[in-house]
Amino acid sequence: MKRIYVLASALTLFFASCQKSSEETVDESMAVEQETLAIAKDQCGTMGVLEEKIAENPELVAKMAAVEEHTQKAVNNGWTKRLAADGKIEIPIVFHVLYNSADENIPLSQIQDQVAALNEDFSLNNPGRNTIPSEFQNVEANIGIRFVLEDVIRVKTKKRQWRPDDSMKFSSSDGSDVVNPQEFLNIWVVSNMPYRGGNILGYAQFPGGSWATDGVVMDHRFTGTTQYSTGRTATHEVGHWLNLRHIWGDGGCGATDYVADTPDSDGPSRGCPTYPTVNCGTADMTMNFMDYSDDPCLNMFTEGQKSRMLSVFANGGFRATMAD
Amino acid sequence: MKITFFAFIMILFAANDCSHQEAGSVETISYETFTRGSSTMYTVTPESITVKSTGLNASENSSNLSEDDWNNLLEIIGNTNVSGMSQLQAPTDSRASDAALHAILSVRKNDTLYKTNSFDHGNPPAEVKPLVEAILRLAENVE
Repeated sequence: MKRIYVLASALTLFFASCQKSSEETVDESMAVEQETLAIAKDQCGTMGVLEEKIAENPELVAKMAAVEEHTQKAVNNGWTKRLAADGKIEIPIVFHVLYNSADENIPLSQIQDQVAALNEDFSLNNPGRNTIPSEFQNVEANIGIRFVLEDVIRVKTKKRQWRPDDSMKFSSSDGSDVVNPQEFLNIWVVSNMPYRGGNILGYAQFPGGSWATDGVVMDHRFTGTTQYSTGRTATHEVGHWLNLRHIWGDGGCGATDYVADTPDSDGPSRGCPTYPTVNCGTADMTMNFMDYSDDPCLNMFTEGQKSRMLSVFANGGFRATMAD
Repeated sequence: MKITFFAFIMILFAANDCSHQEAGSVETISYETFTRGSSTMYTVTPESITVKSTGLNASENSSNLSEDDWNNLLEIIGNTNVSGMSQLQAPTDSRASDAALHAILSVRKNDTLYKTNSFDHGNPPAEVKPLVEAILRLAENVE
């Protein structure tokens, strides 16, 4: 009898200990909310990761940290207000059309459509802006940037598809070399970018990277007006090119996009969401250009995003030469 | 007599181990990739693997899973700190400017969903790399 008790208690102890380890609750206190760049976020987490990153590309980390520091300074000191008061910043665009088949050699009218869409979105003229809910109307911003078509470079290439690896930005890899990146926005229009089971519509490079790869890359089917597009992929990518992050902060609740007037969310929107779509306790700004909604349902930037973008053009900013 | 007790208990401890008991209660393993305009969800259960894609190339396919395949996944999960997955840091941030797909790995175990933060598809945090790679290997044979 005694024997059974001993056995039973031993078994209980054994199973209880297993139970405990499997019921460990998920600790969410690590969700950090802070106003500094992701690089700084890493310092609160694994130093190993940061070291690895710096080892990979020491200059880039330093450069991006410098851009972020300058952004904070420009916003805090009101340097962006001068730019806003001066009126429009004008950005000339050089399009590099890389084509293999004739239909990828998109017509000038499609490129002009794309420039027109960018001008709508950066000057408070998005065609869908009358659908913006009143909750968000007071932060809707006129960025005051005007885009002009500088040049179209057409290159016949052997490549039928591309990866998002910047190879299209070099003539040495059958692409087309960047033109005056300190003065021009370079946009490479390629066939398509199937990538590891997905399909990249467009991608950008943040301020602070190499000038040789500075700019935006677009799938030709999502450039200008097509059966798939009204041109908002480029608006989203130019937002990144001007230092904007995804509106959900690329993480769960609490992950920041470094902008105060965009609501917290835990992931991207898809399709055309109905208002209100609530996540993290607030209605998502699903119609913000930095979300992932479909083209017709992307309609606005905010004042906070405007300050971030204009910081890039302020004195000492990465693109200051574009504004003078 | 006493010695027999202890011997028996010790054998019991040696024969069982907690990680196997934990892994045995895994219900589903999911891996989702997404970018603007498309997404793919890989869902693995003890019986099958399903790959569902949305966007331009929408599709849904599944195939049966062998017992060996599932046990192999359980073994990998047994060596993974599942409850610590939410704390992992992404080693790279290409997805922040759309140059990589976003990816999230999740494991449903003991009626609890454990998920990672998003990371670049193709470069997962080292701790979950074996599991992500095992799922993608299984998905290659789904037609």
